[in-house]
Amino acid sequence: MIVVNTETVAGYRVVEVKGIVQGNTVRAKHAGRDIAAGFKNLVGGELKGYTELLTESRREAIERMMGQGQQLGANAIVNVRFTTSAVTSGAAELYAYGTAVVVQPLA
Amino acid sequence: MGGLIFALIVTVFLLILGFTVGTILEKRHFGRLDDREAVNRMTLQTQSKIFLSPTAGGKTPTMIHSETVVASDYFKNFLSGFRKFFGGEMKSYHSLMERARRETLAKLIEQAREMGYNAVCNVRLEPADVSGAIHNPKKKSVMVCIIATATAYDSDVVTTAPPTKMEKPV
Repeated sequence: MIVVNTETVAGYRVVEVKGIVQGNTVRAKHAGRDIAAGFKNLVGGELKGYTELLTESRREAIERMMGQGQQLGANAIVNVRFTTSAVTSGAAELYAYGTAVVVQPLA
Repeated sequence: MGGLIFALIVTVFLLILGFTVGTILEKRHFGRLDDREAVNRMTLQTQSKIFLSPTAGGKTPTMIHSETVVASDYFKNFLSGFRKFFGGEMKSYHSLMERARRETLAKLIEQAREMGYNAVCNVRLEPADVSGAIHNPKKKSVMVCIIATATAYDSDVVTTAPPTKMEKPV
């Protein structure tokens, strides 16, 4: 499945629009990560644990979105956007949404 | 009295630790970023929503994403307390944001290159609240999170930007 955040796909032509598809995930870090982050807050620097968590969440959200797209019979999702929202402290929601379409390679 | 002195010693120790280690780590990080960005400049990077001259019959475009969470250090948090009192530009947090943004963008471009693409378009960078500061402003841990999204594709356009380090505007 082709997933892009642009309105079109280079080399392809949109032949059918299936509508908006979405995927979300709410994730929290385990307490150990939080403690490690607390220590890192003394000297600063990248929090690898949180970064990985975000990457996983995003993949999860994209996969759920792709699942919806497949159910609709689309072979591509265009114009994908992400939003995040803080549900409670220590947990973040990641939401991905896009337009499911059917594309055909340009002759 | 003894407890007070102990608390003071701990605070001073943390301040010195935050200042020395934090500054060294930040300098090294910026050094690494300069090197990576110099190489990354060979990849065509645009924010435009359209594909700038895509290669006919090239690889299928795909979405890429990267994210970075960077924590502040104890010294910066301490300084920000003063800055909040007097007002003005918070230089220490400025560099924190810069670190997160540049790191995210560098990761994004590297990802595109590893996948064999030579261009990215529609680069979008946005902040996310991961520390829960909105719900809990009193929370001590200061961290910034930047998430980036882009579409990687093959382009005919050759970037003319030389692989040099960018001069910093003062």
